[in-house]
Amino acid sequence: MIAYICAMPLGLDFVEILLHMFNFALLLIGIRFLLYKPIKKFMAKREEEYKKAEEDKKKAEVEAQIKKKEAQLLMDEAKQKAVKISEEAAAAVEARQKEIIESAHQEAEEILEKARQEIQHEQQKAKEQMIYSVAELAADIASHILEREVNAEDNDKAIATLLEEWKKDA
Amino acid sequence: MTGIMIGGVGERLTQALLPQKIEIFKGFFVGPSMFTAFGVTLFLLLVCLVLRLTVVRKMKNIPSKPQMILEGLVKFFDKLAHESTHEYSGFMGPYIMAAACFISVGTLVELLGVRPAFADINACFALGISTFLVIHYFGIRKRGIGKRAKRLLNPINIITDVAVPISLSFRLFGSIVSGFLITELLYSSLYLSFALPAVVSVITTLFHAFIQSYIFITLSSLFVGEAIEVPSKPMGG
Repeated sequence: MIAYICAMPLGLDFVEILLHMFNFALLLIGIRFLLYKPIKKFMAKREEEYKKAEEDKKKAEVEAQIKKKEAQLLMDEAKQKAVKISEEAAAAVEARQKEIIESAHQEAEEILEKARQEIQHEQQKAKEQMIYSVAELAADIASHILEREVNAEDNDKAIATLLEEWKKDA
Repeated sequence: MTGIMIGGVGERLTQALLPQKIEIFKGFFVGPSMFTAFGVTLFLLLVCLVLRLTVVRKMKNIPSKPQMILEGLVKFFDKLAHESTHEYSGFMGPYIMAAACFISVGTLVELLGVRPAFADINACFALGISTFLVIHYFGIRKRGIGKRAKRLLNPINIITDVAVPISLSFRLFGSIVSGFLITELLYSSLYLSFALPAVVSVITTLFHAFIQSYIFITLSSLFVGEAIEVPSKPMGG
């Protein structure tokens, strides 16, 4: 009955068309959910992963560049510090050297001064001893000449007079 | 010439075009192509299920050969759908993939001696009407029912819209049936029925299976793309 109602020229049949459409809808749903969607999802996920990996790589490269620059800056700074420390050390060494030399000079001067003073002192002492010796000798000679004893008081007077004369001469 | 034919050519062609219907329920008859169509769908769904459980399940970032083939197929249909239908490619991709598989396998079964699903005008019309419905569904969804109905004020647009399922159906039907009839004609001639059908049927079937499926999916996506396209200038009569 249905076939009779639906029968059309060229073999057209609405019920068959609907059945074919239903069949195609089944196939469409099956292909979409069994194959197309999971593959598409996987491909999208993979693409996302690759994009993320690419972004991470770029990020890491940028970070590496920044760190490289920072390291370069630190290196430059360290080099500058090293130069400065070296210069400071050289200056300190020079200063210390000068100090040592000056101190040595001063010490030498002092030693020299001391030596001079000692020499002067020894000279003075020798001179005085010589004066006494000469005075004693002179007193002895004078005693012999005068044939009397020259006492200590005369002697001291004569020596003092002589010393004053010498000092004046000096 | 008639002496070398096995039976009448006309009778044979009529039988090929309008085969005897088979009763599946009481008083309900269907053509043999219906069995082929459902058989092809069942076969394709089984293949999809097997691929889903084997290849798709074990997909890796470094793809295996079957994975590459599947990805290539999906990419091809997705790209084709996306170029014409843009935001609706999520539906149009699987739609054209299903149509292409259905037309190809439904025609290639002829190589096994089975009547092709698209040697029946009803199967072709089913696909044509499906595309027609999809075109209008997305047209209304994109531009609204008012704008979509407004264009029907122009009678040329009505003819264009009605022509779409008819042209899609008859193009497909004509091409598939022509190949099928060529093979049938070769078989009907005694001298030509040796060896030659094996070559000719393979050429015509393979040729039509892939060319027609490609034409159908390209036209379907183009028509949907046209329906969702927002015109830059108002349409005039």
